[in-house]
Amino acid sequence: MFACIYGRIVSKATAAGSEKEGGFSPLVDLAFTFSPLVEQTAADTVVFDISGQDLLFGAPTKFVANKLNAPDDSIRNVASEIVRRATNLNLKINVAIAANPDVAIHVARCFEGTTIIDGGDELLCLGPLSIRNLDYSLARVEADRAAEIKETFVLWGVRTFGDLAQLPLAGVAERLGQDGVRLQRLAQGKIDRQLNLVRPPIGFEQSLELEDPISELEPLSFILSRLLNQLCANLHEYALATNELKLRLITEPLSASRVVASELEINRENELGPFHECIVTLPVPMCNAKTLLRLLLFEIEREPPQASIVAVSISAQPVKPRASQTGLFIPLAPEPEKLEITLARLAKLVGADNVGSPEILDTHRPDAFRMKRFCLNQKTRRNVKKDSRFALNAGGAPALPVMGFRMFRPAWRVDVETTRGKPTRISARGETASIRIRGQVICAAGPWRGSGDWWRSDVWARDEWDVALVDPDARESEILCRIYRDLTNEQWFVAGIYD
Amino acid sequence: MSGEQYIELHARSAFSFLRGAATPEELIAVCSKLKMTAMALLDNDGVYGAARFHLAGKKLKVKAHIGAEIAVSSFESADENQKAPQISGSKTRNSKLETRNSTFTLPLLVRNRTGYQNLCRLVTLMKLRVPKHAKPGECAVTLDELAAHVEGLVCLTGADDGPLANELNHRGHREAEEITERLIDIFGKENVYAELQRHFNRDEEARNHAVLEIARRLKLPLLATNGVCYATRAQRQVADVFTCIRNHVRLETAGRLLSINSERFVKSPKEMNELFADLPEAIANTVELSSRLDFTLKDLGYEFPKYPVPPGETMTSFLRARTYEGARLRYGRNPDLSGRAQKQIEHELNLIEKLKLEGYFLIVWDIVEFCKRNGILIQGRGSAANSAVCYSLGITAVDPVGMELLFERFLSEERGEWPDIDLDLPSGDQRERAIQYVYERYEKLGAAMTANVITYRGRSAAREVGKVLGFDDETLGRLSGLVHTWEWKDPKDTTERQFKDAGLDLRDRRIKKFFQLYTAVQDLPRHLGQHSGGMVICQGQLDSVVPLEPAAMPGRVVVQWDKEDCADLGIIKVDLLGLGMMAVLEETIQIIRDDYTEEVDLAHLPQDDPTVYAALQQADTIGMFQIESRAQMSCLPRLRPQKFYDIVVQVAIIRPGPIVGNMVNPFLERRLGRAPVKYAHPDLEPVLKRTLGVPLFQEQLLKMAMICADFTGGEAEELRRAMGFKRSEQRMKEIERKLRRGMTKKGIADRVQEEIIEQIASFALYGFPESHAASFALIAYASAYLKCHYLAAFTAATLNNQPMGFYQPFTIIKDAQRHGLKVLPVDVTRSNWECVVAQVDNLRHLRLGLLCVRGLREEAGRAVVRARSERPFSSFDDLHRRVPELRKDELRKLAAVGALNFIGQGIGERVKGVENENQRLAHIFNSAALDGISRQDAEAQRNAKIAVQSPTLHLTPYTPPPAAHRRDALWQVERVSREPGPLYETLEENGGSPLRQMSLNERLNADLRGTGITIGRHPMAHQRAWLNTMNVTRAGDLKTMRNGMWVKVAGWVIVRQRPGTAKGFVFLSLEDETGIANIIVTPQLFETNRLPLVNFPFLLIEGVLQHQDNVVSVKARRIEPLQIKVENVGSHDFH
Repeated sequence: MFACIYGRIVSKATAAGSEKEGGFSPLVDLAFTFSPLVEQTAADTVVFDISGQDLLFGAPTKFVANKLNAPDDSIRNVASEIVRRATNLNLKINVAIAANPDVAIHVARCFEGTTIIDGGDELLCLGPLSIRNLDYSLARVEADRAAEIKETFVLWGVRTFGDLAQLPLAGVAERLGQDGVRLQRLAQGKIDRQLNLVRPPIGFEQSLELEDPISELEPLSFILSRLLNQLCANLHEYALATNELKLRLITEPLSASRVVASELEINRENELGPFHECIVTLPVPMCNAKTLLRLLLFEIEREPPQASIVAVSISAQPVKPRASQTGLFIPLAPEPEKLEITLARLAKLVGADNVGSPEILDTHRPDAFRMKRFCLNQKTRRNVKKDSRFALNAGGAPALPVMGFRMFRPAWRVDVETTRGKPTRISARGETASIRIRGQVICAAGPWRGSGDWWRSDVWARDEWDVALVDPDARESEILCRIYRDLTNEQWFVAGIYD
Repeated sequence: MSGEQYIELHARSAFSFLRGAATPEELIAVCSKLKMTAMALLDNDGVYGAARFHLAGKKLKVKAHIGAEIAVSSFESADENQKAPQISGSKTRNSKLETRNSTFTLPLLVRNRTGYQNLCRLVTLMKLRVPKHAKPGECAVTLDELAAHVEGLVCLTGADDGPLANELNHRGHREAEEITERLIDIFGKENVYAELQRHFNRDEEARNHAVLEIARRLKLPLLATNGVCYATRAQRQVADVFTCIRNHVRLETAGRLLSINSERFVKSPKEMNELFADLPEAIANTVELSSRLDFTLKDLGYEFPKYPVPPGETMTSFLRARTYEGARLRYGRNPDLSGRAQKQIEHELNLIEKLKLEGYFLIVWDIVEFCKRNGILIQGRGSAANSAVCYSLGITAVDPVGMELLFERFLSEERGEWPDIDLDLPSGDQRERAIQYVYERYEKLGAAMTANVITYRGRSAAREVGKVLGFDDETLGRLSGLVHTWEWKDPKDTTERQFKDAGLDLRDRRIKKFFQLYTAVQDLPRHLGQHSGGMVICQGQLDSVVPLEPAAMPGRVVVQWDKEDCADLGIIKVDLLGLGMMAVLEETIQIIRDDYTEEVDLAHLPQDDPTVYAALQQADTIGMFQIESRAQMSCLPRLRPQKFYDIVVQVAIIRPGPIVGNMVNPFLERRLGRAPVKYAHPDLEPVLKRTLGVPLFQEQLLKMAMICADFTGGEAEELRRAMGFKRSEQRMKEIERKLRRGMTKKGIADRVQEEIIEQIASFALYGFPESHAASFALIAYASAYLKCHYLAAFTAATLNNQPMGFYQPFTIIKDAQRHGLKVLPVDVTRSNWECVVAQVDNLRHLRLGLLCVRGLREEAGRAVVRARSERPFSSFDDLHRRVPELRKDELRKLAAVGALNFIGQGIGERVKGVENENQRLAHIFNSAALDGISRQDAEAQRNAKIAVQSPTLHLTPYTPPPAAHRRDALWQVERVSREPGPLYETLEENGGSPLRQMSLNERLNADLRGTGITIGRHPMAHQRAWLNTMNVTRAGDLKTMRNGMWVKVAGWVIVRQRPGTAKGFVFLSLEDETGIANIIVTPQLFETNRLPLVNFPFLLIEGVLQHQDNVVSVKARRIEPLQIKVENVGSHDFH
């Protein structure tokens, strides 16, 4: 016999809890309390085998079902117990018990409460159901074909399971093929099949609750090491590696004096307790506990938790391990693990946003770039050539002599004297010992005018000049620099100097 | 020469399609403001904007130089087939064009007429050898081709995409010099200018240095230009938006595709002089070059083709002979008219001769003759119907002499414009035949369609601008939804309110920017389309007058100007317009010829047919040309047409002109004798007598001016045109003063002058010319006559030419049934592809054709008819085997609408029986539809009739034939359309289907879903018992009720209208099984009931009955949706 539970979750907390844990839906959990043979047919439907539970549920209980054709007491009791446990879990469900799992599924979906169908009564029960309730996936009918068959049923005037069940088998087979035959058997409640069982997922998560809170990094590193060793061992066992580690440190409640930043934060903490979380994303799959430990420690050092730690949890995203062989003639690149550690060290020193490879943005906005995560360049020379948008000299024209330009970031503010809009004398404010920008303009080219992003709030517009300066006090007799006037605020800046 | 002089010689307008952001008029206006005496427009690959540029320049006294930027491939050789232009649609394409890797844009300026002709030929050459939507780079000329067309052209070395920049960027300095030398070889040293542009850009300046060096070495003159892409700095944003649209990117992702700054606007001579202070000769040369460019579009050199006449004849003598030949036929039998006609014809011929228009009339006559020879119905309309020559030549069908029409409305010496003849042809293949005849007659390069410039407007503009700004689909939908499709716009409907209603805040930066850009792109050209019928002709040399390019439609060629531009530049055109009703008339006549064995000649239809006028007076005009609309129907019972001229008035009166000018009611009041006939001035009586003192036609307007102010015919026409266009406000004022002066001189009092001017002004724009109304009235009368006397044929033809007219086929069928026509269902054993007339027992019925089945391809439908003509289908398997073109879904569709019900019964002895049964079924069902009785009753009647008529049948109860119900067919179809495999291939299934028959409602839904029509009962008839309990009155019963009564009506909404002239009122037509009820909804009621009124197909409406002058309507007070489940119901909305 098979029982089917069709239901929805009444309480949000139950749903959140189950999702948070990343486990099964409450319906599946409920089914597992009765049988290990569980199929999750849909998000709101589970069906499971309840055969052989007489010993467990044999005792008669007070129970009223919708339509019972003198079923065994044990079956009644199972149904009653399912409803009771579901009520405790705040689940609103329909339960159907039948000799055939698909009959149980259709009945549970269409009848309120609890329904038990005796063997042989399937068609009696299913017959009046609207054909719209027929679950084509149970008969393994593809979605496109299902749509076509549905249209055929509409044209044929087949409105109920009974209508379909009564069509001549040969006629249906001739017209709709095996899909039609399976659907008809489904409507008749005659499909005999095995359950598609739910299996527990492989867990790559390790956690530990501490007896005493830890506030030092060193003891924490021992605990992390232990957990990571176990995690890596598990990954090894399945011949897997990870490309993302998630560390969650549950901390002690903060002192009352701490001002909680936002309502959202309060809500999260109420639900989950105070915690510190960090995610380490790896450029290549890894499974080395030592490397992972160092990366985690750098991460914690960079952003330490606010209170003592009472529990630690690490989860790893399992992926296929990296499989590569270096070629004989390919220059050796740094090992990804070492490179990652180096980058993590740098990030700790200069901040995560300031590490990586600069990427020039496709815009006229001067000096527009962003830092992207550093990774070994996989592009071949041919590919680079194709990307000609940034190529300075894409064609075969002979390369012009190129001057080096030293960009000041940020640009220096500068006082400029002008005559008819043309700079004549400048004096920079942000000088360093090595560079001194001030003096008479002896030659100026420009203005080179640019403006853009007019549809955004940070619209820009500037007039640039390339100027040659003579400063009698400077070490160099002549300085060639680029200055610009920001037209949005009429201020002058030095963008940099030509070497 | 002063230092402040400068001429911009390189400007693009929005006619460079997404490469420029200003109209030619805007460019000229800025030039004029900046005191620039000339400007050159160099649009991309064409002279699309040249006509407007020229006219704007003429107006503001700025010399409009013409030129173009031409795509040139640096490959020098070209195949022979490249040189011969081919019409798009042909597959030939040069493989070299596809492989060339270097294309640049060469700016060319026109020096003289030869240069202009060369430019047009070059553009035509490159455009016609590739399809319309060729990829960039495919459409280019080679240097060799360029060399063959250089005379009269000046070349600039170009800007970013010019030849020099191209070589400097991709190859080097030496190669750049080489290409310049090549250009000098081609154009001659005096015709090549080294172009310099300064947009404050480093790279550009570097290139300028290279250009200067090359120019000095090759001793080329320098030329400063600004490479203008927009008129003002602010239009840079529109240019950027266009760049995004062109490249299919958003502003955020466009990156460096966008311009780096806003410097490509029209700069003043002062600014340009400052910019090129170091190179004064570059500025001076602009003035020098401008003085060398003699050509403007004034010297277009267009000549209308000459008509080839027999030896010994001139065009004049030939036209005269043909005219008098025709006149004898037209007027010969009427001596009264004959004299007047001859005088008029002579007057017209003299004027035609004087204006050298004989060729034009002969060419149009030739087209008409071709159509007549080939049995294509053709009729001239528009102002041409004012000409007795056109009438005599058979071009038009309205007698202008008999109707005293004003010739000057068509042609006058003063106006200096070409006449305009519009020819109506049956839409579809017949019209295409006429068009192709013109192409063949005047060769491929001698005739072309005029273009239709598609501009950014409404939803398309909103969507494209929204996309560029990166709005998500939902917001895009809301933004484009803001563009109202209603003709009427509520004055309180401000933009802010519209945006607010759509949940969009105009204070939001992005929304505000959207609105600015949306407003800015309005009316800018988007792409070039093809005008529906305008053709321009020039004897084999049209490509030297205006460039030609392929249209999207295979075999069609279009010119780069629209019909207004062509008219403005004096290019004569003939409009070959497709008219659905002409196709209906032609087909009806053919059906009458074949099935009734009668010959109907439209030119000789019985005049004043009482049946026709009775139908018109009762507004029983569904399906009739021009007089079937809701507004026409509500006017007909008041106007009560009794003679042909009344139909002319009827056609003209329901127009925005008379409606806006408040002339409808005064006319009807006078017509009904409730108001006296009076004239603004006694002198106007002869002109306005026929329309009871109320001016209704444009000719009357002209005559009024001629009588009251002594205007000549040409001046009067000038007045009409001045009044007609908003842009001529200045001109309108001038001519109004002239009119007043004339009237004062004639002693007409100020008050009367005011009244006359008001009458003229109110409908000058929208009024019909009387001749045009008369031409339409002829078609209206013909359609009414055919409908009244040959209903089956007329209805069949109407259904075969859908979509057309005002009503859906459902309404047309129901109307025909109410008139007693029996309609037979679609049946693969009997139906043709088209609807036909089936004769049974001397009665003519309408047999629906397979084309009524939605989703059935014509190819498959015709294959069915072909296979059946060999022998009847014996079974479903037989049908499937013999018509392999039929797809499974098509078989299903046929089965669902009952078209397969009678398969297998057309064999042997059963044929006759089934035919009879079929007819009988149709008869009973049609009767049922009319009587409003139920299907069950009908079946009982049928059984009773069968029992009485057939002694052999009455002993046994009626049993349906083997496949007499649709589900049986559906069951069978599903089997035959599956591959049976070789073993069962020949096996045929016996026995009926296990499926239950379709219920009445299912059949109705299947009919509506599958064909959009039903020959059974109207959906409302099914609800009648229920509606009776609610005291709902049937539409047909409304005319028996008293004015002012409170009534309830219910029906299917077949038309929703909110005309611009109705001040926000909404008009609905509700159809039920007895007819149509007209509903009037006030603006207030519409606002409170917008949802049901717009969204629900069935409505229950309560209100006050208005029953005046036999016009019945219900003024709605309460509106309620009716929950009736019928599939696929539609209506014609918002006309």
